[in-house]
Amino acid sequence: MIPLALKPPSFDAAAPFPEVRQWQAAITAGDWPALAAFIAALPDADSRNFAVRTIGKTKGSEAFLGRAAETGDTLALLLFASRHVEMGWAARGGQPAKNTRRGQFARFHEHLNEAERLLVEVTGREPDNAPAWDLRIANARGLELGTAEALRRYQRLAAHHPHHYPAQAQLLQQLCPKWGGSWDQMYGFARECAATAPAGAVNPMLVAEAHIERWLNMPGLPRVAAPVRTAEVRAELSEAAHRSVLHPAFRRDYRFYSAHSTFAMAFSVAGAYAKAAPHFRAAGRYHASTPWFYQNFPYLDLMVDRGVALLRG
Amino acid sequence: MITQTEVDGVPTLYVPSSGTVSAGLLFRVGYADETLAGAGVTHIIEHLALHRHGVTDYHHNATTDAIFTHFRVRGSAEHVVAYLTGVCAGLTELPLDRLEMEKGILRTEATNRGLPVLPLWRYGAVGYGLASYPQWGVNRLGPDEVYRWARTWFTRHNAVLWVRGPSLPNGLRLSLPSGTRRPLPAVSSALPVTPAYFVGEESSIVLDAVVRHSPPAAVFASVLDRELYRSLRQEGGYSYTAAASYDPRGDQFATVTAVADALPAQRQAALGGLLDTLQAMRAGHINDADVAAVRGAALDGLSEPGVEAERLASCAADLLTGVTYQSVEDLKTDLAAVTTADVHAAAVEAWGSLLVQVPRGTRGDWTGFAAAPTHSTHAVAGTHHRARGAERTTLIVGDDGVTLLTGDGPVTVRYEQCAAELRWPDGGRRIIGVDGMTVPVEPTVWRIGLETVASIDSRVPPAAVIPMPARDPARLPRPAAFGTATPRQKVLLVVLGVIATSLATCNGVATVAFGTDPTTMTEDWVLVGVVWGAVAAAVAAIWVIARRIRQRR
Repeated sequence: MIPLALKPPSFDAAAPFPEVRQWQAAITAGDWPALAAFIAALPDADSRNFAVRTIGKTKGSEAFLGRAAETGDTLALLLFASRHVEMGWAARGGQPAKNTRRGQFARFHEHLNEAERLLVEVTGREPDNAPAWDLRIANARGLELGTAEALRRYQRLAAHHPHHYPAQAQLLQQLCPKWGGSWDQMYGFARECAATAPAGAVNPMLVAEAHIERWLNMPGLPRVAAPVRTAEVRAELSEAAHRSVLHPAFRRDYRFYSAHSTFAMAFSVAGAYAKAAPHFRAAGRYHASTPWFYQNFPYLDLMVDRGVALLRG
Repeated sequence: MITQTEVDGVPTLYVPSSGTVSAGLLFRVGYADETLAGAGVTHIIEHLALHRHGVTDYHHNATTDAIFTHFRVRGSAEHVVAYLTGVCAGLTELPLDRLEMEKGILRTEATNRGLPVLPLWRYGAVGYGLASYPQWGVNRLGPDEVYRWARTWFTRHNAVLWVRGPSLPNGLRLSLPSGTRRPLPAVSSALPVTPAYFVGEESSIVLDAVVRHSPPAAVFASVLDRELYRSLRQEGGYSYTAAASYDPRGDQFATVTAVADALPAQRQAALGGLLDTLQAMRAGHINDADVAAVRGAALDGLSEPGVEAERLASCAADLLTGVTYQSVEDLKTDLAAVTTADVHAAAVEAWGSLLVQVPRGTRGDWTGFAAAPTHSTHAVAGTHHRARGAERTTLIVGDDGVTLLTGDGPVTVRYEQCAAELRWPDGGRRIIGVDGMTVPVEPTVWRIGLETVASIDSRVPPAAVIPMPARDPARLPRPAAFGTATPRQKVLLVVLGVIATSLATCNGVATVAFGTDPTTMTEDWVLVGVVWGAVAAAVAAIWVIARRIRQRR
């Protein structure tokens, strides 16, 4: 058996969950009732959110989802919108705005506008549809509608789902300086979400994401002497981990691997390798592409960090 | 109890009441019956008719709106009789010697008036859309035209009188010429698709919708008003003003208007909140308690004493437009029957006709609404006139019309669809189509001569011509200015210029010398060619830099 330290990481968010292949099979087969039934059977809003986002990433699904959306069914509208959001960001590419061509921006906006048109209807009919608000908060950022509109969308969601992690992660991005917020706003929001969430919920992971964002903003991504490499940050990360992924009430759901992976990276960039070790062990080979792809060499960086962590802890 | 009678052939609605007498003489004519080039004629006639009542000691006023002109008075029976007799006399024998003076008064009145923007986008430059335009007709209307308008519209067959008082005043006469009851103005549309949006010049969000005039639609507007106040002001704090209103258009339809102001940083949020509120109501999320509260308040209003008399003016309007009379009891029954489902149906209807003005500096494309037309589908064929300065547009003057070619598309007005041509003495023109498209023709901006302007003038229908007062020469429209060169560009231009000139001079001399010298060898010509190439390269570089400077604004 290959020791964990040598296993190549997988950044496919769907890989640990065999049911995703069933969803994709239903899409390939054009079987709408089966797909709808799979999603209806999911236990909570966060799981549905995972499904909506994952199906949106399924290449070529747009023809099938577009036909389903013609019926006006809100789930179909939602999934088609999710696909448009993915296609929009794919058309834009990952480059900074100054390196993005005008045509790319035009296609990006076309897709996001189309997604908005569908989502406005979904949230109008179902004001408590958490995945729809999650996508709309992301769209507010993509369409550059400003922090006030992103916050308004989040508040509309929070009135029904006060602890909806994926939407909080979207708003966290909006509150970063690069999108018009500030570090204070970003940290304030992450800490508030972490503090108010029920014990064992995934939300304190936002604290780890916030520290990673702060680290990311430093030129050249230095590995030492950073504002996140302090005892305070390590202590805060520890507390966040114990309130979420290390808490006995933490459930093995769709956030299990990505949460451990995120904490593993946060502890690594904070220099607390020993504390990163249990998270690397829990995540196994399944890692989250965000935040790891922020690294210059995600595979290499991950394997080095993991090697050091497993040696120390 | 309203009774209907007749005074000199004018249908008259009467309600007995104690105290002073109130009366109103209502004509079925308003700005929506006018044309853009005749805009203001009804208003002028209203002013002229009241001239004799310049200073009086009883209460009277007159108003002109989209489809009605209303003369109203309150006082003793004698005063009311004197007023109405005077109005009728004024209308039949217009003091046209006062025309120029009243025009001046009207212009002063107009400067204090803000014009709503949405009507022109919804209806174009005709009918109900004229609400968005100044009363330009005032500039050109002559006595004959004013007289003809009065004779056509202010007749006893196109009027209704209402009176409230102890009795119909003795000696009440309405000597008006005979005519015909005029039909309602046609409802035009400048919007091929709704819901639609456009980016406005204002800082607030304004939207409207056209719905069938009905109790559920009125309740919908009031529920929307409450919902907007709650979501945009109380909960979100995005807006100070967030309100909705309901205005019957007079033709069985009504306009629901909603307004939300916001600071720049909050504008997208106010827009998002407004649209989400409408979308939720469209989806059927309508608070039963809101509907009950609105219905209750409206029913209370209808139960107050004297409401029958209060409604007299609107009953007169209904009679004039052929709407069946409804008693207060009928209205109350209809209102009491309004359910949340009816309000939902009204919300769905309103959504289908939405027109949204998003604030300047914000985007509206994400709303999923169609962009209201800002350009025409075709350009006319004709002579192209380039712009002066750094302006990048082209004016096309053809036999059928004019087109302004912009980077985003053509803006065309065909002469046969021309609503007005504004003519300034300096040669500037503005051609406005019935669809609201506007083409500026300014010799200061485009390379056109006065003969081109004259050829446009000769093709515009004479009835559409509006003379405009002289403009301050210092404030004439100007083309966009060229950019200025940076110091680096200036140095580069000078250096390249010197190189190109000196090389061209020397090489020119060499070329002539070699040309006349029979011993010139091929190598010499190659050298001359290379130097000419260098000159061409320098000139090309100058051209590229100059282009860059031109394009920078």
